[in-house]
Amino acid sequence: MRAFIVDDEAPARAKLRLWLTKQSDVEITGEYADGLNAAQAIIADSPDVVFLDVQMPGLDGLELAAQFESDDAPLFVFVTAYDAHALAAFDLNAVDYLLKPYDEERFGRALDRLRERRHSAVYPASAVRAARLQTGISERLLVPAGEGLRLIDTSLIHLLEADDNYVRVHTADRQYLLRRTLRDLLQQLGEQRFVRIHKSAAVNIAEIDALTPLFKGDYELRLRSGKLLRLSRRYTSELFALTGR
Amino acid sequence: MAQSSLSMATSELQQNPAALASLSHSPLIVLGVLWATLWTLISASEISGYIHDPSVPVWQPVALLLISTGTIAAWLTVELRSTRYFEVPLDPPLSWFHHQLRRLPLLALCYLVIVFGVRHGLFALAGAPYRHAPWRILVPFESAKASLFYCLWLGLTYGTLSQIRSREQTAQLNLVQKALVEAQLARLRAQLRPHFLFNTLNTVSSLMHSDVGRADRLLTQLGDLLRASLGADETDTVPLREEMRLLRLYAQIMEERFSGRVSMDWQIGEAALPVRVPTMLLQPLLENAFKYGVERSVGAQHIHVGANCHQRRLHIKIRNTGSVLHSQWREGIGLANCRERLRVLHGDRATLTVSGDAAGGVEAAISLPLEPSST
Repeated sequence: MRAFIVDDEAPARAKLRLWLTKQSDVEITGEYADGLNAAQAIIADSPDVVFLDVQMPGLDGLELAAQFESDDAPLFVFVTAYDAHALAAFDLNAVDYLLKPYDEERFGRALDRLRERRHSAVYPASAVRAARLQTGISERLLVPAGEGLRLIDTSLIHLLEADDNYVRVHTADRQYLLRRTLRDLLQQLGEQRFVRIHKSAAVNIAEIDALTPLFKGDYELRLRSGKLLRLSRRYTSELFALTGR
Repeated sequence: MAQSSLSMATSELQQNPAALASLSHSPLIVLGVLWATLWTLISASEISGYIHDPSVPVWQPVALLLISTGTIAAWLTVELRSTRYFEVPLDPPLSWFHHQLRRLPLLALCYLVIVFGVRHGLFALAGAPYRHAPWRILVPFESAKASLFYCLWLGLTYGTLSQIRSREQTAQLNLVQKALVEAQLARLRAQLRPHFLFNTLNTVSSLMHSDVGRADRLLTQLGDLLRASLGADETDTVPLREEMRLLRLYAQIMEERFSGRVSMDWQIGEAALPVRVPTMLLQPLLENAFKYGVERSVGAQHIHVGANCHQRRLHIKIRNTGSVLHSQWREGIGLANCRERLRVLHGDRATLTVSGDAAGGVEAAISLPLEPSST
């Protein structure tokens, strides 16, 4: 297993390193002290497992996990000192976490569970969903920018368009291409704030300017930016329910 | 009729905020039942006295009783309608009774006028003679009877209201005690700073595998710090020398946790060391410097701690890089508590200010007058 250690405190990283290097089937392929650098490396290197501290500068562990496509995330193991009340909501059978300080036996149990779940598709998805449940809808979205990643405020997003295996994220002046599914991205950003207008697009509700009925029940939707889009009749009821029209 | 006055009482209870706090209406129900039973017994005995006398039609004793009991019911209903019962303090009891009894002569007079007026009227309408004892006997007798019943009623009411009031007080006392316990718990939790504690324990647990000596030292520092913070009394003062020793313990632990991410410098003037300051006054300020400056930054940061005496005042500064004071910034509990403790000791003569500088740093500055003992 290729493992990442992500913790902003050096002694905490040292402890994980000590025990992970004792495992013959584990190779530490990266150590990071903050969320943003870790996210970038996870996307670049796709490790199998990430030991993720919850409290970190920039982007905390739960916020970080929430940014990953739930069907395409590594095995996240959350490590924390005192968010026990938050993590206690996790079902330990579904998502693993370690409470600091932990001993080698507890750590060993977590590793054994990881070995069992290594090839399961269920675990990564439940870890991402559990993180989203804790953080609520993401206020910031991790997007590729040049060589690295950056966080943009989700209120700046106007439109999300599915494009093959990607989602094109439109802000007022830029577009970002994310390797995500629209469905999962909407779950992360909140289906109350971003609503589908047809099968492969969703708009920020706050950016809707006007709706003009077309024939056959479709509508023409105008964004504040002036952009014109088609609202499919299949999604009208959902949008009207949210906007109160 | 007792039932009707009871329902008045309960509705009154719902309208009156003081009575509203009572958790149950059961004392009023007891009062109502007692009253109804008493009147049923009296009515039954009165009517049974006439029932065997064939010269008197049955409706007559029934009407006489209905009129007097009806008047009494109306009277008591009016009594309960007025907020007097709920507003006049029950303690001392004598003054409560005095307050209620003041109206007795007027009430007794009204009772006589209404009861005998209605009786005479009704009998005249029915064309039956209404005979009763001569007025000079009847008036004192009936007044005494009415007064007696009124006093009985007052006694019952007093008992009932006392019970309601005492329940209210018990409930309120329980609430206050609960709030007090919760406040104490919150304070204890804040003193222990669980995040700090568990992260430090994890650091010790890590160091044990690499450097037992350092692990041991860290554990000792944590122990010293915990002992000092658990023993610290909010009203205690210590020389700055001791306050700085505790502050360094905290700083050393944090430097170990955030090794490589923070550097510190201390500039403490000799003259400042004996000045007395409230115990653990500065730790919340240094905690903030770490929390906002170091813990939330990716790069390395610097923290400066300075203290000196100048113009008969002690000036303490804790400055960190890596954080910006936002315009919507609000003072937290830690700072508010420091400010309050300074105010208690020095009034307006001590100041605590938090300001941001252009270079991307925040400074907390305390200035307090030198105590006579330390000058």
